[in-house]
Amino acid sequence: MSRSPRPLLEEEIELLVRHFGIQRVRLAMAKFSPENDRERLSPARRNAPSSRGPARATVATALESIRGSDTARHDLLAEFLTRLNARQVLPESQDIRQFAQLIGLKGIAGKSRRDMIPKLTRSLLELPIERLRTAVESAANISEAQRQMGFSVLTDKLLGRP
Amino acid sequence: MAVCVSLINMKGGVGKTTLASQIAWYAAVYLDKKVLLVDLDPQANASQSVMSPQEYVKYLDNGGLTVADIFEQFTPTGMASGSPKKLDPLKVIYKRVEYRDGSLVHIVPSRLELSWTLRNPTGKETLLPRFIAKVEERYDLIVIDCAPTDSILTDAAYHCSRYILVPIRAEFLASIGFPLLNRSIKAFQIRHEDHTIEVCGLVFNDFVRGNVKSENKLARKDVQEKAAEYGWYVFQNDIPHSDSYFKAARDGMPISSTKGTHGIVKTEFAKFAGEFFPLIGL
Repeated sequence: MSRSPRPLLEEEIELLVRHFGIQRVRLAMAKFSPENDRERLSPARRNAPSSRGPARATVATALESIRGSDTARHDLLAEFLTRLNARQVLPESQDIRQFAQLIGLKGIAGKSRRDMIPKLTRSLLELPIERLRTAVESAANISEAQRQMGFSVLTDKLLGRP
Repeated sequence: MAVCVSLINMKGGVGKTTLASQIAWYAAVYLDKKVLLVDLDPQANASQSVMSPQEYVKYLDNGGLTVADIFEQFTPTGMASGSPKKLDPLKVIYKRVEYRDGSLVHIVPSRLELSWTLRNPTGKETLLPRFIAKVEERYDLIVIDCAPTDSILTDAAYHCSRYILVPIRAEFLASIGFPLLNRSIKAFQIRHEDHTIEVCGLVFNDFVRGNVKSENKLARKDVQEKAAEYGWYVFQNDIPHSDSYFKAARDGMPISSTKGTHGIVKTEFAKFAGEFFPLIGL
């Protein structure tokens, strides 16, 4: 027997609310408002240049804007970003995901490191300086090599090896 | 007041720790809850998988307190330092992650020395519920990962819990452990009539997807029949095996954020979560 669309829709929404909570569902739904829909479909938006460039510029600008007012944060972040871009820290996208959790992000959009770095940087800019310092230090310990060392770290501890 | 759920099965290797950790992550990440995970197993696997091995070892090396300190807080440690000291409950909690929307995952880590409690258990079963009472207002959900044994530690978990979740594998030996659990809960209920505790359900866990072998079907049927006899709910949504759960444990991450996790694995867990959380009122 076929079901009417309305109960099915309500059922689906109820499932979403159960999984994600009403607040997150409302936020997600807001993206589908008529205004957003028009904007999404407008020729002007379709022909607009990629936002990757401006996003990067925004991050660089934001970092530059704190150079004079918050030198400690600027220097810490600038050095971290240099190492991040050179893959000296968080070399893989999975490392960035793990690091994002550490700094309080539930998820980080993007598949590649390149996509994730701007969002990560913006989040780091908002952290209190002490938390930023701790986060930057802990980033050095996040890598596939470190994850693979987990077993030996635990066995050494259990056997009392230094 | 937080809802407290213990994951218990007298049989080892049924996936209690993996499930407890992933329930904690899911509640925080997708339901925006404040979650405290209590590792009540001397093997400390929940601690190692949620904190990561390196962080766990660092925590112990820095003198971090564990659940063993809750159970042994009044145990004289020698002539020189034998006088009991008041334990600050917040010092036993490791703040694994605090998200920007206020949801969080904290953990009370365990350590091997918790097994010493089993050697001299008299009167210690009330220490954990007293600790929980002091911190529960800070959380929405408290998840207790229990050791696979009927002991003082299980009794302590019963005292804290409103619900028990039973992960089970559809295999002969696992199904034998299941009536033992029923007996243990019944015994507790008789001794503590004033305490409301119920099994919120059994979930078939860690089996090969699409396994239709007769032994598996028989074991599943045995469990389902016994569950019906005891009046225990069996979850409609199973949690089949995936190596990604091992990787999530190694990485100290939610399954949904673990690299290489197949979409079907995330969906299966979300379906179970969609069934589980409403049952416990979250």
